[in-house]
Amino acid sequence: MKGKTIKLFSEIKQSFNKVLNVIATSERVSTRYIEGLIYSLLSAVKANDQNSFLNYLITFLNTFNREEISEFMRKLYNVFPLPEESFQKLGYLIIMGFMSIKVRGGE
Amino acid sequence: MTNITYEAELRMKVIELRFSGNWYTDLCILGFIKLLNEIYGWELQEIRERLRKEPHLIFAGYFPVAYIGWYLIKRLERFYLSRDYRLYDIIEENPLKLENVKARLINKVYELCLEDSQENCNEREVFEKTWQKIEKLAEATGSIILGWINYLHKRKLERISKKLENEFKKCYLLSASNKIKVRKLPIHSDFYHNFMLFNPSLNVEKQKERLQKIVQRYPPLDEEILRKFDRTINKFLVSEKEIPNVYYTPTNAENIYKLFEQYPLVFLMCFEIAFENFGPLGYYAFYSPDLEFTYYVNRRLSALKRRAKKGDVLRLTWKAIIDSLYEKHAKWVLEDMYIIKYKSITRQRIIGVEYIGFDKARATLILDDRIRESLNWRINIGEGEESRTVWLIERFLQGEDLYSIILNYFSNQLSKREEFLEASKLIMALAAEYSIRHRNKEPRGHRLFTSDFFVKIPTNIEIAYSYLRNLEMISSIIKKIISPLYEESEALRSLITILLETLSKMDKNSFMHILLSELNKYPEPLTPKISKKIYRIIFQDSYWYIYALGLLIKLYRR
Repeated sequence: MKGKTIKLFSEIKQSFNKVLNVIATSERVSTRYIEGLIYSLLSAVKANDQNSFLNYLITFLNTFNREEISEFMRKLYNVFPLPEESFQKLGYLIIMGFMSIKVRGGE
Repeated sequence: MTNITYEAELRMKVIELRFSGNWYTDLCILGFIKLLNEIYGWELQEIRERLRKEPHLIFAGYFPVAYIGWYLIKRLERFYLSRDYRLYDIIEENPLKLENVKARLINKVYELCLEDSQENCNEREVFEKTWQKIEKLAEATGSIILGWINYLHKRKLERISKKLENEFKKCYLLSASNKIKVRKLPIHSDFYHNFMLFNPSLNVEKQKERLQKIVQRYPPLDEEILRKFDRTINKFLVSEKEIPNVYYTPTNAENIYKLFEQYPLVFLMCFEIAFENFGPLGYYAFYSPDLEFTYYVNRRLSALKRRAKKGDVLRLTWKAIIDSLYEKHAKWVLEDMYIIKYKSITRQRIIGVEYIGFDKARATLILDDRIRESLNWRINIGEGEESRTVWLIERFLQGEDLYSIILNYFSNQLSKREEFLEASKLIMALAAEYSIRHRNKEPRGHRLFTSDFFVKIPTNIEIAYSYLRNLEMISSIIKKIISPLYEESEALRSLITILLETLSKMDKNSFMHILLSELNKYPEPLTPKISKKIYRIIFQDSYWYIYALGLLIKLYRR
């Protein structure tokens, strides 16, 4: 079970990198929006609220109509629900990814 | 006829001083060397050469004089320092003070031993001459005690002077012309108690006989002698039971006999001398399997002791070890080093034996200049007003957890709102701790003697330095992001305080939450490289908290 999750995790990581590329090159996303999103995601991770975490993420990613994003969502959907520790790992991975692309997008 | 060949054979045999790996017997050898060094000032090399050239002169001539001299000095010390007499408080005249008296006695030994040549004498003749010297020495000691008694008399301290006089009368006779005659040597040993010449019921003639027995040359293993001998030795051989936390190769008379070859008793009677007396703190000796190194450390220890204040034993010991290590670069010897300590002896039982060892990994780290210097300071970890200082290097070598010490120290400084200047030292100490913990985390089923067993040690320092590199990388970028915060020191302080709280609860989730929400406030992004690095450290390193503490310390220092 554990090995399987690790494999899924590394797959998610790879496709998440592609997602980040898409977002970073997109003109539509403002820094301020990403900042807000990060706050929401952070509080969801802290409270171990996987439901709202996915909710915020899907709401945001829904605005992009790209193959990379739907692939990422599919993979993500497969691993949920997660035990708390793994959820934190994944949650912070996604949050820190967003933090690293904060100002690349347009204002 | 057989006797002569035997004698000749013995003369051919060279007595070498070498350690065998059993600390008990090795410390006996160390005691022997230390004695000759303290009294005659001979270095190890000189002692070895003399043993090669003129063993009978050493054992029947120089050694007994030095040995008795050492115990006479010890006796004087006991009078001088004991609570019953309090001579150290009373005596104000310089020539009567302990250090001058001691120097006088050592000079006397030196004079006596250098005045005549004994090259063509046989062992018995040498010993006869030696005994005359010992008597002179005992007389000199008597006249010193007499000097004290007269002084006390002059100061009208009758009670003490009476007491001292009684002690004097036990050992000496005073003729009408004020000439001192020795009735018995005023020597005493808690360690050997009644053994051989220390038996208090002996008079001077008997003591002479016993001393001769000690320094005489014994034939190689002879069942009958051994049996006689066995009882005598076992009287003071410490059993494993009495030193429960010490493992040393259980040894018996036969082994010891073989080890010390012709003069087993000489060495066995030197065990006590190897230890350095630190007053109420106990007796300490340093031991490693390397004779030269052990000798140098112990000599340095006694030199340091003379200069230092009381209560600093451990600091001194470690200082002596580290300095010598550094000087001699004796890396291979790092494996087994112990400090052997005992509190006191009563009725031949050693009380409060401690056995402090430290491992190779820690010692290698200490050999690195930067790490050693960073650890070599005291920090105050007392809360509030009271101060409680710890010496980092000592704690480190004793295997204590530096992380919690530094965590404590840092949170104290933070609550006192005190600026501290030694952040880089603290971080270096954390790096050392990180490297030790990292090393201890071996994968399960790890085999001891794989090819990387020998490579492992040097990588210790590399781990420490990679910690520093990573930390520098992360902290510089985070500092850059939150740079506006440095304008309001109070806000920065409260952020660090909150983060520190989560850290002391080991709450990874809250730590990340607070840190990331703080970073999110500022427009500057985390670069992908740094964000990966942070992620890896926090979620994939079992010792993430050491990184986190280092980060906080770095952030606090602007």
